[in-house]
Amino acid sequence: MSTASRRRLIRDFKRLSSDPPGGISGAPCADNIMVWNAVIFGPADTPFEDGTFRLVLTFEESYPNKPPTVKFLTKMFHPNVYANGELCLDILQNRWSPTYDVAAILTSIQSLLHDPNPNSPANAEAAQLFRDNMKEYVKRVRTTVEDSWMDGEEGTSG
Amino acid sequence: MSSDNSQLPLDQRKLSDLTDYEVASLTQELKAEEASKRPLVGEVEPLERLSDEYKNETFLAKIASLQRDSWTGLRRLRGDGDCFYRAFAFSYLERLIPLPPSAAQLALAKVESLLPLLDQAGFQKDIYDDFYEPLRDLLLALGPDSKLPRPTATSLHASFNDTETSNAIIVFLRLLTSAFLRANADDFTPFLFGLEDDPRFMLEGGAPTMDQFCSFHVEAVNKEADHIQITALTRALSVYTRIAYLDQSGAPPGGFGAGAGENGDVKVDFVEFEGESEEKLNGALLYRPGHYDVLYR
Repeated sequence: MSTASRRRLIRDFKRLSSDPPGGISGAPCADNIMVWNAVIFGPADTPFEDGTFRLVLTFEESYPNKPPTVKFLTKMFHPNVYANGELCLDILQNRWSPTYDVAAILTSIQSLLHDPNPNSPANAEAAQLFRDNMKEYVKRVRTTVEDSWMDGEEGTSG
Repeated sequence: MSSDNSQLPLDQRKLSDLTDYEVASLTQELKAEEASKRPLVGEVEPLERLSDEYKNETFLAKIASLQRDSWTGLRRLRGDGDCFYRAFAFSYLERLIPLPPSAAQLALAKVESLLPLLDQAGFQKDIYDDFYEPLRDLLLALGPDSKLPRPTATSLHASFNDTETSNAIIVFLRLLTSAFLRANADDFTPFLFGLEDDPRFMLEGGAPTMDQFCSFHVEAVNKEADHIQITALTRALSVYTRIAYLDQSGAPPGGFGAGAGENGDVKVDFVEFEGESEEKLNGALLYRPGHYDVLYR
């Protein structure tokens, strides 16, 4: 079935695979182009360095006029990520523009990792530690980074 | 400000707990949901049908005054926050239909001359080209070198009800508006303001920067156009536009008494953008609080 959203997703995939921004990768599921798996590598020189964080992006037929829903599959400790993996990011909510493609979405999430938005806390504890106790914050993030390696192995074997 | 249930979706929280900013977001969500049931662009219908929707005497008197000024028709647009851009684009192209093909050629040259502003604003050509294509194709089809059948009001109406075409044109106009605002930031920045409790702009003393304004209020889908966006877009394209404001303003205190009868004093304010009209225009946009339609005579 060829619809505007599917055509656009094929383009997004071509763009992402021909000119991939550093530290991100993503591809549609083999049997459903509307669902993508993606991996963001923790940016260097941040507490998230060396982490491999897996996400799932779910698109509707209204894409690109409406944003996809994006969810971390890897357990995160971040001020703007909810316990269920959903995230609070303005471009995925009230600042969406159809000019954002999958590469732009993933790049924005990658920069959100080291640049949390204190105005929209989704994880109150992470937000509080980020603000008041950086040392403890980094420690907690490093734990999720180490866990993310295990998570990645499960992902490939399953 | 933030209560315990502040993590709940807006529509599950008590209205009295919401900040102005949250009420604005919720209003937009509800409008978008309601709007999805209407066509993107409606057929022209008689203006008197509008009177059936109002009991308010100021509105009724103003509609009557429009009719006396020989405004006869109305084309309704879906109220999804994109309505100004859609109404503007439709009316802009529809006005070219009866004109000689050179008018469309000129319009296209004007649009092409603005593309460098998009690059300057940091939009990538391979991305904005997709959104530009439908508008360019319509202008080309209205121009002198077209091998395609010339668009008519009917075919334009069909194009604008094709979601992909219609939305691409809106995205492109939003990018043009944004690029023009950014390129003329010195002129426009003094007019930027934010809702007082909008948490995003607290750091800047309540007003957004041009960059924030453009990304939140111009480029983002379904965000309504205000005076500043309308000024920027009409100025960028040099397109004369007039807007009839059908609102409560000018109502006599205490409303119309029984003696007011056929009150001819209540007029609809027409606001003109981008100079005086050189040609006698038979079109205008009709503004009702929060919404734009196209007006005909």
